[in-house]
Amino acid sequence: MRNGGARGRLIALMLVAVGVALSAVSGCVVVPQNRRKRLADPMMRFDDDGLEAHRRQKFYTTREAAAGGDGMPAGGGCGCQ
Amino acid sequence: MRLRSDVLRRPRRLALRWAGIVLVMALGVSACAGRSTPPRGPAAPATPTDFRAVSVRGLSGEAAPLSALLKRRPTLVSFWAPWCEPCVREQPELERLARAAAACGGAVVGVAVGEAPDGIAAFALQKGLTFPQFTDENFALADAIGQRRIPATMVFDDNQQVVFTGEALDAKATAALQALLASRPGAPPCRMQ
Amino acid sequence: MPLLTVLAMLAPPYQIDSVRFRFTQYDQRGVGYQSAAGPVGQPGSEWETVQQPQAEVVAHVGERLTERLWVPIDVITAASPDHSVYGLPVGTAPPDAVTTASRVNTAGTFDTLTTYRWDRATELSFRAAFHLEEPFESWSYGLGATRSFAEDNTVVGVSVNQVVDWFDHFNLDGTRNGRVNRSTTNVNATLTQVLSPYTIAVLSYGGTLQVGTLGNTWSSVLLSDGSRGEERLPRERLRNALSLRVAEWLPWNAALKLYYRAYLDDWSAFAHTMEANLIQRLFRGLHVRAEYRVHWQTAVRFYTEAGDPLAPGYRTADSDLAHFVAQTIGGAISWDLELGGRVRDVHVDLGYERYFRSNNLTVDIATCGFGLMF
Repeated sequence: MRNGGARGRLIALMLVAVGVALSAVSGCVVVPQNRRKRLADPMMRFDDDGLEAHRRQKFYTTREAAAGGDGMPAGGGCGCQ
Repeated sequence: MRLRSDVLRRPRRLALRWAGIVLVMALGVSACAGRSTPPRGPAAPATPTDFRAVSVRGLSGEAAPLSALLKRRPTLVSFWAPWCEPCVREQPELERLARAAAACGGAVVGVAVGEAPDGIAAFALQKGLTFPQFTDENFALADAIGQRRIPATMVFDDNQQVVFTGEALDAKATAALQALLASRPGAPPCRMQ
Repeated sequence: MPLLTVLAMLAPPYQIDSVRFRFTQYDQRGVGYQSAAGPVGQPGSEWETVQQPQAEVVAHVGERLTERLWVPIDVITAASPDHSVYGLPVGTAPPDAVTTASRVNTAGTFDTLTTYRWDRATELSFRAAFHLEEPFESWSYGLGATRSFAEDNTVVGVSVNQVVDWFDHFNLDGTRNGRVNRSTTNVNATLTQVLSPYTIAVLSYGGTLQVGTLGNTWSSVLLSDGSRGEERLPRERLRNALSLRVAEWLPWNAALKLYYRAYLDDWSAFAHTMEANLIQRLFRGLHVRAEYRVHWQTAVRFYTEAGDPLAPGYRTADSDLAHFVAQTIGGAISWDLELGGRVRDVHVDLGYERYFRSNNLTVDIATCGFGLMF
């Protein structure tokens, strides 16, 4: 029962996340490349510093039950898991 | 005790949830298909020749239409911006090309899109760029000419007609300029490479 | 030999784009029921320090190929194997880590990522990594592809990764019992979408299936009679994570990045994670960053702090798998100095974070980074 309730919560959350994301996308602005000055700013990058991103990903993966959703395997690869 | 109605209700609830997900995604995709907002700035001109009348600003702030930049000579125009890394990387090569083209009666001109003249003046001074630079602060020229990418390279002939459109500066763009310079009556041999 | 010379001359040059270093120190304090480093019948110390140097080199060959080489090293000193610190005679309480390698453990990874630009809109990537620590080794491979649409406003990416681990099997009394292994198979799908000239979002799903021995074999569970028993974990774990990131440019020369992740696995762990990062440019090249993260998770269904000695079935006292709320508060300052010569840019940064969990774990993290961009 607990498992089914959790699964249902996740499905509802997925609905909200996908709905919010696609509602925003449904404005569907196509920003020409020559107008992406702000988007090209290093402050806006999600992967600005690979070493910092990796150490944070490993730190949280080895101290919490949750992992993944960041392009990396959720687990394995070291004796810390 | 699980009732028969409970057993039948759960798969239906799950199916409804997944149908909801699919519906939201379909709405999103259908809303997205084929739409793009018009770029800022003046509306795109009805005729292709209109862009020659669109003004850009020199580094001292003076306005001039594109036709005044092109004059009546083969010209390579580079659309760029200082925040665009590939654009910045090709500036030294454009500088070299500008000197070679000038010796052969042609020209190389830079148009910085979305930028103000003073910022580009400082950038040109810092990088040692001496070939003519102009700014298209409100994207008026870029929109009129239909140029949405940077870096973008265009080559114009003596009659201010577009003979080449490309992206980053490459051998094809240089060859297009060289071909124009070589085809002029009485033109001396000219090496761009 | 002449052929090799000709080939070497024809090959495009290998140009280094950047070299980066980072050093991070972690100081962890807390207690957990899986640790025997404490009084009998009580949770033990989870004290641990980690020194983590890392190095990265990024280079490109020609116009299409980029290589990234990453080498992190972890030097870990942990309390839980060293129960003699607590005045207990050796042998009176079973240790939960039994080798000197677990007391002070050095682990290293060699990780390469090759990216090939197939055409203007498509990139392929291949990853290979090898990890080694005294009782443990791991190999991993990955393949990925991205394709952009709508003038690069939309980018879709998929990747798969496979990790295989081998490690020593120790019983609770310290006897080595051969080697065990586990496999981790992971698939990812990512959608990146430009929402406006100032906003970009990334929606990402990651699914991971782990099969084999999924815990350290020397972890113990505190039992209701005061003794300790072995941890028993399922041999499979299916993990799902869905995340959304949004970056927004702010008009005062700053950027706000938001992150949310929902997680669910078949061990009944469910989690929300939210994070906010605010980066402010002070003047050209100088930035400060403030971050806040909160993570809420349920316990796995077989978590226990007082296991039934007679009950069969799965059990764990791993505090990482318990119900808790974890928060991280931190900040960093970074400076990028443009030189404009052969070394185009020098980067330096300094950061500090504090991670604290509601189930009695705190980690202080200090990090500094240095990079050269060419």
